[in-house]
Amino acid sequence: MARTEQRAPRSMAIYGLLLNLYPRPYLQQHRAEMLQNFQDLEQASPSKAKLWLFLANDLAISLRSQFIKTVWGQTVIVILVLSILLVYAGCHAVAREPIESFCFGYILGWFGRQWQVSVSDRSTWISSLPTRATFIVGVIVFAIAAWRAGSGSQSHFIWAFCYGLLLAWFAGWIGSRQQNRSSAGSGPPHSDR
Amino acid sequence: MRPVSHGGPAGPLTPAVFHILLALHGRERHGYDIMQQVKEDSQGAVKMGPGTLYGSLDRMIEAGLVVKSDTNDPRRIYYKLTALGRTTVQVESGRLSAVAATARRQLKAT
Repeated sequence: MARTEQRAPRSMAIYGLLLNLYPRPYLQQHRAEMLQNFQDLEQASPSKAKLWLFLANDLAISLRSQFIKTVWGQTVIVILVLSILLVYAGCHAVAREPIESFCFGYILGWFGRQWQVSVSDRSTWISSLPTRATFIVGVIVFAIAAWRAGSGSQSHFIWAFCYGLLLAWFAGWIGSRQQNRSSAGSGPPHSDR
Repeated sequence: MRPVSHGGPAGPLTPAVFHILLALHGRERHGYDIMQQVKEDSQGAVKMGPGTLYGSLDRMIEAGLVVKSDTNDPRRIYYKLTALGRTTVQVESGRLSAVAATARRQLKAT
């Protein structure tokens, strides 16, 4: 009897630990509710194995959709895609150096954009100070690159770097705009299932 | 899920969102109650766990379809439909009925 009483808190503790995988804002809102739900599910479930299988599936689906919303999640995806691109270029010896320059530019553009978002509440507002600053830095880098690329054998690396930088910045800007628009009035773009 | 503007509903909705709206139609429910109602309404076809449910509810709150009720217990938060949520579920039900009617007609014809 005492063993049965002990089992529920232990499984709850395991589920509580797994919940720590979710982003902090999501947990702040829903942790207590999810633990209560787990308790209800556990009481109603005839099989522990089935319950944990169901919860593992739920965790896999919901963690993916929650993780993608975070900066870290998006950064992991960007780095993963760029790594695949680099490995592919390395294996097939296809324009390896320009691709490396592009990836380097993209990473810089990506973190530049994240910095801009972190220091500005109105990151999509074109006349905000961080937007102006990144825009001016971008124009200067582009001008220097264009000037240096005019002649010389390194020109295509510099252009690839600039394209990567600008693409990352614009991708981030468009992403933020869409996110703001969706939270301002249009509904949820996707469901988990 | 397609965007739902505050001006009016614009389906079609995903099965999960439609079933949550259906579960909340007529009465407010807490998370576990919604999960059980969705399972019952869909005859077991739509099963959602806590993670999926609250992710969907967050997006539905953002879209103005659902609101949280006032409650002091953080473990039992009740959710209810807004006017837009009620209209959306009615419009989606009508759309699904029309689709089912078309399907029945076409199946009879062949």
